[in-house]
Amino acid sequence: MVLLVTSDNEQFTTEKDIVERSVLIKNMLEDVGESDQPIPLPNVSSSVLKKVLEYCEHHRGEPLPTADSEQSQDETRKRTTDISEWDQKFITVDQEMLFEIILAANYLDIKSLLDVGCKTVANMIKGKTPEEIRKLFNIVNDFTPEEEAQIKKENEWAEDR
Amino acid sequence: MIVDDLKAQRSTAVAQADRIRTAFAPHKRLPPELLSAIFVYTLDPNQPLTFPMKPNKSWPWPLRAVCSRWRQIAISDRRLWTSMAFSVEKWSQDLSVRLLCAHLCTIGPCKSFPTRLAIEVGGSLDHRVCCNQPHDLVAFPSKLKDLSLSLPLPYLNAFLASDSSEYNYAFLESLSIDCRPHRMRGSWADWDDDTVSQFVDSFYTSELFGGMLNLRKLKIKFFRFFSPIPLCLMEPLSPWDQLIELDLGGMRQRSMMAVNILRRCERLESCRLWICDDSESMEIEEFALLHLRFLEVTGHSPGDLFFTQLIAPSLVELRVCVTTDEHDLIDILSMIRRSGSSLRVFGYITNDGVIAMVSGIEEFLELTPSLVEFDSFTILPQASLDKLSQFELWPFLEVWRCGVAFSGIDAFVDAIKARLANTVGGSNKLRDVWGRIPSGSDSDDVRVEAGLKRMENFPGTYGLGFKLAEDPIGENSPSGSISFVAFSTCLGSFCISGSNGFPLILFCKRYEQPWVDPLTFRINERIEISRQEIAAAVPQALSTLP
Repeated sequence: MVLLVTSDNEQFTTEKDIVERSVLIKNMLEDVGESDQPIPLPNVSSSVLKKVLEYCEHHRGEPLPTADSEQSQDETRKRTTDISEWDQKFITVDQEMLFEIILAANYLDIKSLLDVGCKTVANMIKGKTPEEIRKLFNIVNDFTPEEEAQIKKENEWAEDR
Repeated sequence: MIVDDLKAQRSTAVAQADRIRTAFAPHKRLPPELLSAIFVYTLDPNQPLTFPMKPNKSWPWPLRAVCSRWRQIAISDRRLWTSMAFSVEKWSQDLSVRLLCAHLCTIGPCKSFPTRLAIEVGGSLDHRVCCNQPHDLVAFPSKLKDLSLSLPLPYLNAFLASDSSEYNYAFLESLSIDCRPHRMRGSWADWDDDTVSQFVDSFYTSELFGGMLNLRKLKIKFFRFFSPIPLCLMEPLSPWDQLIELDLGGMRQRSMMAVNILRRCERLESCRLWICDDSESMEIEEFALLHLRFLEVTGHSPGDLFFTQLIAPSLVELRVCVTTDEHDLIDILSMIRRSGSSLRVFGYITNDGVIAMVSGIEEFLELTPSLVEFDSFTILPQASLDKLSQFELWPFLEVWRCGVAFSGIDAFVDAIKARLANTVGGSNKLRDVWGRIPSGSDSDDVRVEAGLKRMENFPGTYGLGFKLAEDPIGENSPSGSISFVAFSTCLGSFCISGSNGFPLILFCKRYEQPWVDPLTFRINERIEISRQEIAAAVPQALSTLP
């Protein structure tokens, strides 16, 4: 069993093969060897770690991506934003949690979870106008006058004349 | 007064909350590399950035106009801007300038020269606009890996005739050339023979290919309604022996001509062809394509010499569309026997969609023990059905699509059932079954219903997807097939198909389609067309005959 400590000081005890879906933790365990010492996760809160562990538990036993497969995935990644049914349900959370999961997956180095999170945000963005995207994510239009002028110029050339 | 005061306080609080929400918006915590990864996920490889477009509509253009941070990340990521498509109705003098500007706008600080470029100019030919250098459209040829040109024929001719020393396509891996019929007095028409001859001459003599040292995929699409393209390679040109993929499925040509090309493609692994009757040609000598794994031939007619002289020992997938009334597998069997190919996928679609037994099918079953997919209108003989049910034939079959006569529905269902029940201990992998039946009378419907009833528990029990139904002509034809329209008229149901383009003209006329691409277009529903419409379309069709 492995003991994890979150940023808000909550402790999670979990099985090794679940938590080793995180490359960060797997490497830590390999470096430290057999030990009862808790692993601190200062960048992950308890609510987010709970979700992350739920994901790892569901996908336990599945092969981890190798360097080779990652390379080939790079090509296919842009080709599909399909997400499995379970993952879709899992990632149906509020925006705050969605981005927290992405950040945690990135920090803990859980490639498949990071992909699910990024794909979900990509699906939210795809096909929307800049204004719609701003509204969706509370983004302020902060272009400088120079940038505005450049955008206008780009669109002029892009338009059918 | 108090109410107004409270309202004002509420507005202030809401505004403050909005500011806080914006300030702490979760996306802001994403580092640039993650935002970049998300942007790349939004790409659809089949939807390149398209010009001309409405501002902010063609993806991923909107990412440049959300906010300053997103813009910087978007324009700095070259992965977002590698694929561009440019499509216009007709040629104009400033086309190359516009395209260059579009390129320059896209390139941005990451110097992301597109590696994939598609340029499509409609078939309207404006003789007042000259085009001496269509290469000018391709702003940065030396960066390209994939180029697709769909241009009016005179411009393609000019492209092919260009001096290779001026244009560097050294990294080009894939080239697609598409010439469409042109629009004349509101109708689509074939290019005249002189212009076509120029194309053929340009092709023979083009120096461009000499510089394309990395070219591996070549696609030429040239549709003529009524005449084949006389593309004949008498002289060996440099790209052919380096090609891995050749797609001539959009250019009808005589078998002899196709063979002349293939002889030079020694490394070919994938090939699509559209051949036509070549009864007048001289005898074709045997030719070998040792690496060929995939072959799709549209227009094969039994008796032409293509298959009887082909040797393809590595062939695993063969798809054939027969466009004559005669169907038999004799030529194909000869090819398989001489080559020793182990076919895994076989498609044999007939132009007329007639459900019948094709001569040679028994021997074909024996000769193809590795078959995984069989897709045809052909009826399988009773003896073969028995052997199939016992795994004596096609033990690895996963997709089974064949013709079934009304009188054979019971035998067909019996065979499927026995295979699924698997009493002989075979390794059943069947996952897709389609018994294609002819359109028939009410009494036949009863037989179909009974057959379906017997199969209704198959999906639940065996996880099998099945159909026992008509197949609208060509729904499953290989791409490249032109037999695809099932017309239903007041006379009843009948099909117009074949190689004369007639259905296309009808369809275009009725639906005012500017152009229906017969090679990729599919219609999966019946279309009502009246006799009057057909009568009106006939003179137009005839007028385009040479």
